[in-house]
Amino acid sequence: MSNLNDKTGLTATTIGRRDFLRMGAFTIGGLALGNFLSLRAAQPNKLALAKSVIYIYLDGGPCHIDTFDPKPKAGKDYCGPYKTPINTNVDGIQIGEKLTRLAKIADKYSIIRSMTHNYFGHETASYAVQTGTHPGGQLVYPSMGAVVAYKKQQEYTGSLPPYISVTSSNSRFNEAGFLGPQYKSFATGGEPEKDNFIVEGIVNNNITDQQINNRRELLHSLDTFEQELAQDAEIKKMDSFRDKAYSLILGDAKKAFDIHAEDDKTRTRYGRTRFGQSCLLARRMVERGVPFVTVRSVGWDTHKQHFERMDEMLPDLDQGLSALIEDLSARGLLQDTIVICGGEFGRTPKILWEPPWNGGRGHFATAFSYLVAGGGFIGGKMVGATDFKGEEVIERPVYPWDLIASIYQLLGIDPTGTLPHPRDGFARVLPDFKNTTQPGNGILREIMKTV
Amino acid sequence: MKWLPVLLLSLIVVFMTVRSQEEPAEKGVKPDFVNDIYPQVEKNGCNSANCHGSQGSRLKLSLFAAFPAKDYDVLVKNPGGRYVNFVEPEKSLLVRKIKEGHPAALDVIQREQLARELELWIRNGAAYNNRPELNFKELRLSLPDTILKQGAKYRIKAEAVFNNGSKTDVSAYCHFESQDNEVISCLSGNEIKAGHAGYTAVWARFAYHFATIRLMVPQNTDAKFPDTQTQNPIDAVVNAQLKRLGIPPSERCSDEIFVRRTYLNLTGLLPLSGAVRAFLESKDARKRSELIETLLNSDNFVDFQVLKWGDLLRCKAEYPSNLWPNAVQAYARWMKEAVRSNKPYDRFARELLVSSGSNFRSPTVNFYRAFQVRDPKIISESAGLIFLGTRYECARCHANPKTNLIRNSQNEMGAFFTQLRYKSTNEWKEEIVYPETDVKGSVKQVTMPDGAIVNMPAGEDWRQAYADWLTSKNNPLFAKVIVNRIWYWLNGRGIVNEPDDFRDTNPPVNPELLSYLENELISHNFDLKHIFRIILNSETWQRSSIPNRWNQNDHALFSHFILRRLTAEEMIDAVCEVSGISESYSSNVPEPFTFMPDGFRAGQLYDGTVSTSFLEMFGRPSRDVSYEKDRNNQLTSKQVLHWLNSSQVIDKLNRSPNLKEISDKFSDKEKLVDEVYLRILSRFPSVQEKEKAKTYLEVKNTDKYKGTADLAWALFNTAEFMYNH
Repeated sequence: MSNLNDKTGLTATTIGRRDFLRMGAFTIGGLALGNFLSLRAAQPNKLALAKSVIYIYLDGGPCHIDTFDPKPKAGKDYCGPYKTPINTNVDGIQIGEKLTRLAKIADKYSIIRSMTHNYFGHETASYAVQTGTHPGGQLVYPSMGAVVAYKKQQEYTGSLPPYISVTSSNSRFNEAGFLGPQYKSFATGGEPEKDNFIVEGIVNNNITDQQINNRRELLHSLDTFEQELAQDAEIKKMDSFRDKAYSLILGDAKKAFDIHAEDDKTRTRYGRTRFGQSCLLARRMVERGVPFVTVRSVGWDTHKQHFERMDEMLPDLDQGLSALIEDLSARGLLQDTIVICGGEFGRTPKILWEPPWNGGRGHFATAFSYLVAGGGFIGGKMVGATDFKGEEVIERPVYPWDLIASIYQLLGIDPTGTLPHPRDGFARVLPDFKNTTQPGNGILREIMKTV
Repeated sequence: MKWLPVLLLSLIVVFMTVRSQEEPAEKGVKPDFVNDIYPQVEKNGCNSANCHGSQGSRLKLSLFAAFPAKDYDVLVKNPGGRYVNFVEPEKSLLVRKIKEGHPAALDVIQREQLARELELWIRNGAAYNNRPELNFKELRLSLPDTILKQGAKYRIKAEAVFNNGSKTDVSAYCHFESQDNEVISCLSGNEIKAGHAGYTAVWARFAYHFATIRLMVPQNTDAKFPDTQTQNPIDAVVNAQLKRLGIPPSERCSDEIFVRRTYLNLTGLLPLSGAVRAFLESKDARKRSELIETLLNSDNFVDFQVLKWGDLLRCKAEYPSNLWPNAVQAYARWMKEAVRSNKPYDRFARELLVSSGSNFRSPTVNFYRAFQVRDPKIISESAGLIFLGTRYECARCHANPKTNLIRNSQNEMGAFFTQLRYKSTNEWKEEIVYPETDVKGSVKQVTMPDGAIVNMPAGEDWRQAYADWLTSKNNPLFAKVIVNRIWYWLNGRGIVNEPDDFRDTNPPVNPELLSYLENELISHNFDLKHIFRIILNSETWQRSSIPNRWNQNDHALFSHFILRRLTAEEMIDAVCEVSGISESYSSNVPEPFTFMPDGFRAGQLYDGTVSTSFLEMFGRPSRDVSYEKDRNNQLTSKQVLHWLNSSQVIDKLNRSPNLKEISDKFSDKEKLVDEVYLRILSRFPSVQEKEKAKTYLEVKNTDKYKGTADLAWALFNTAEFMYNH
């Protein structure tokens, strides 16, 4: 174990139920129950800077040149109609001309311009950026959200699920990996921008509380089989889950999803779009302590008519993301909430003007950008750089595992730590991450606060 | 001569710890690595994954002490005197570290002793093995009596047996594990405790040698046992074992439970109300076996088996199998045809293993495509898992902690697949898989896990040789693994459990039962339906899930039917069937997009990429790996929540055309209640249940449709619906 573990006392807070079972089954003369209980009662990690993560995932891959790494000198074949990047409120940082609101708050976030990996297919690239692991091993690794849900299960005691996707979850690979389906995200579903927003299982506008209670009574009067098998462990478990579920359905958790509780001004500030209202929901989740929320924005895979699509999508992104960062900041939540924004890769710097693309951009994993803010990430900085056409990383390459290791570190999760291997073997949180202390490599120390 | 007493004392300490009193240490033998030092490395956890077994550790030792020679090199030879200092042994890093408080698990006195032993060993030249005559032969476990008393504690004796016939007690150095912690729990050291009645095994590991001991914990009972002269040999061996242990089996399940259970286990679907009524009314003494036969020959059985094989063969268009949509369809069609025609299992396996051509036209070549990395070793591991139920995979990264699968033999089996080549064509996502037979392999013959030697003749397709060995009637695992899988599919637990974890240290809980089924398969020319048939017709399978006083703690010996949550597909298909509102299934990754026709059931989804959040939430397998456990039927709180209150379930029932239809059709409330019960729980309500339901419909919710929807919702939320019982 690295010394990080000793410093943060992580061993104390990260022993999960599975670990306990493994200990029980496989340790001879290992921890006795008393020890385990005292470990469980350990305090949350005080040295962690961040409590929650909001991952704005731009599914399909946005182009870095159009967003956070403009290249006006590269000419029309690279910039298309977006010729004039704009200044931000931080000297020396310019971003794409469609991101006017984000430009006003650049002191609150940093931009990584040197993200890179080598996977040009959606499935392998999504896997690499979301798990921080090279595709192709014998294990399917869990995505960041699943790891956080697993590692925070003792610390986080809220009634909402620990890993939530707004509104849909990733479909490219099994996001819980070998941790198992209980660590998959809870996808809200529904259309938060509309009046009738329902959340599967929690908010259902088609049934009244009275009806729910009637049905509950009826169910209780008819559960003959449960009475016969009352001593069965499975049946006992089901009973307790049912009680828990009713406390969610009829209790506070439902309120978390009640987007109508927000005033009109706030809702409008985020934008009355799917994306804007999803960002607002994400804020409501982290306010209640949910450790990981993914806002999945789809439609970034613009092989064709790229700029027509960007004209529609970039203002939505600008409005929702800037509102989220400002709102979190105003409420004092940004200091312990990490916000990151980016896709599985970028898009080809050179525009494909010819048919059938008619001004499209292809997949591009050699260089792309990520925005990071809050939770211990310092604002107003840039990390790395690409060449004048945005085709190569020329300074400080940042790999997905570096970014994810940095996030884990801020959350108080040891990036060199382990996960429960599905067959009682040995698996690392980030097998491809090398913990190096050399500057300009590995963890993003240059934009992280230190404890 | 000042050092002499110290040396003598240390020598005694060293030998006392490793050697038993019966066998005093030979005089003049110097301590060595293999016999004296290495057992302590494992015992003290030096090589554990969290310490020096870790990839990140500078001093890297092999996990589970699998490679002593390598570890010796690391400690003594390679680092150029880093860890051992021959000039001043007491200043060796190894000795110093231990004196300084490493490992933390030992107390000061233990550490001092360990440091003295190491120092002595180094002072004597840090030899690898001074007693080559003590070639290790085997590890042997024993107890005075292998029939144990409930609640009593025992100490297992573990002896290292050497080639020269000598023996040493190594109990203190072993790692012990029980196969079933409810029956036998391992306490500290070599101490065990007998718990619930049962039959299980404890295995031990010492210096990467393994041994297993079978133990029996009977209970005293005055219960009556069924006559073991029953016709079905399955019942004979199961009941004989139960009788020995004093665990009387539960009663035969009722016809209502039988009809539901049989439909669910053979088709993954609930029976229609008409089928339940007809079955319950029938007076035919053979009606159970007739229902089994009808369902075994139904199309729904075919779909249900294709689902299972799709899971095992990782049939999935997207990452990481990456078969792509067209190939997935071709592959699934082949599986469907194989199940429909009841293709003998040896031919089934052979066709998967020995085929070449286009992934669209020779569907079984997809067996070799469902890999993210098409490495011959990985292919052989996958074949080993699916057909031999053996977990070779662990050995790729580290030694398997639970059994000794020699690393090299697995590498060797990969040799059969080294001729495989893949090439793409002009057609979108088409790929040709073929063997390049003029390849010159460095390996000419392979030693198989059972010791057989298989030749790989030049110029031939070596997969043929592998398939010959695999599907031979003499293969010790091929038939056992599939009959055990079928047993697991039908009973919820394997005779070897988990069904893909065959190893010496995990013996079958009822060896006679497994051999019987194996022989039946072989003598019936690998006819899988025959195995289904004999299991389903046994009293053992037809037992009630309600336990009696004596068997309620048994979960491994098949004394009663094991409750298991309905699978994801079974649950959603049931609610779709009852409500009459189906789900729509599609996938927009990868291209071309896949859309399933209306009315398609979840149980018919042949492509793992086509999924819904419901299926994921209820533990449908990812199809990333071929482990049975990848299908997760554990109940979670998220699932209970969804089932209670999601619009997906509630809206289906509230808007159900089927429920509307029956509430119009049955104006008599009692008949309406009957019909709802038959459709959801496959039985008539009891008098009390009928009364309560009727009262609800007449008083609480008098709206004809809404009241029926409420009743259906309540029944869907009972444990009786949620479990296969």
